[in-house]
Amino acid sequence: MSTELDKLNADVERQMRLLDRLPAVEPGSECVEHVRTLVANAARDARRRQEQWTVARTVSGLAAALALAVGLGNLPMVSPTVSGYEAEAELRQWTAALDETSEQVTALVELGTHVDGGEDWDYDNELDALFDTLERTLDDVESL
Amino acid sequence: MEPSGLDELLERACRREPAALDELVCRYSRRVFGLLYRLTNERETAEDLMQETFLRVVRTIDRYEHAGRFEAWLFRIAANLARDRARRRGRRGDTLSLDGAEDDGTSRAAELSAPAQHADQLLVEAELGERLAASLDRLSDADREIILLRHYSELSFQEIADLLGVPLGTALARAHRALKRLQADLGEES
Repeated sequence: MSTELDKLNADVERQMRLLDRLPAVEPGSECVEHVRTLVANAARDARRRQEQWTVARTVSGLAAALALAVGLGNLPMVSPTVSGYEAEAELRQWTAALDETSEQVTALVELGTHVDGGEDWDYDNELDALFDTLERTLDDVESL
Repeated sequence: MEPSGLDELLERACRREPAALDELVCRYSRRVFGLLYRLTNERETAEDLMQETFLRVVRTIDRYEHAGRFEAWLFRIAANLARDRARRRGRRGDTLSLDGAEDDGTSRAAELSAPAQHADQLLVEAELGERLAASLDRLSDADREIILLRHYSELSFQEIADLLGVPLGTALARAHRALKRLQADLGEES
């Protein structure tokens, strides 16, 4: 800051003491209580949305893992010339993807249980869709 | 410098812990209301805007980056809401603006400037305070906003200049002009 601005700043700061004479004004106590209630409710809503978003991300990850499983599972069928070694590697990948899927299902179910108490968000549709996909995946696996 | 414990409180508030957000309301509601009341000159409007300010804090605090001062962020929300409200009312043709047309500062000042014979020092101070408030009402929006932000938010003029997007020199010149006018209205010279 230049010297001139410094001087002006100091001068204005000194004059600002005039505003200390302003009468104090306070919000009504009912208003403050109302704001506290609204803020608490908004915080709960925001947390719930955050948890729903986490579930949505889990479901997305799960879908990706399932898609990978299906894709890898089908790969030997469309690649009849694949060597035995490659087929084994793909099977290992497929198994890993299925393990991950299993962990994500567990996480999803647990998370759903945690946020379900008294809340109106419904996990039924997400879980139904998930298990439908899983059934289709298993069909694909059986046809290998 | 941040008040003691604010960093930890803000971390919890960013996780939207209701107790932390409640603490923020308790800590800042008086100052936020004070700013909004002096900017709008209406108790009900100031209370509405205070409510909206804290709700915005809850909605957006996960985007708040604790690099600067929390007060700068909080009071910018409040000041912007007051400005938006005044603009909307201006568009609708209402008489109220941040210049405080609803509360006739001139008549209030004249009424309160009557000689207070036998008044004790407290009453004299109260009268002076009311005259000061009335004089504030007559300042331009921009001039009043700067000195009220300095008074209620406790931000430095440099921080206020940054907040309002004006050079420091402009912010200081506005504040200087506003304070000179207040002093002249009160018959005081620095």
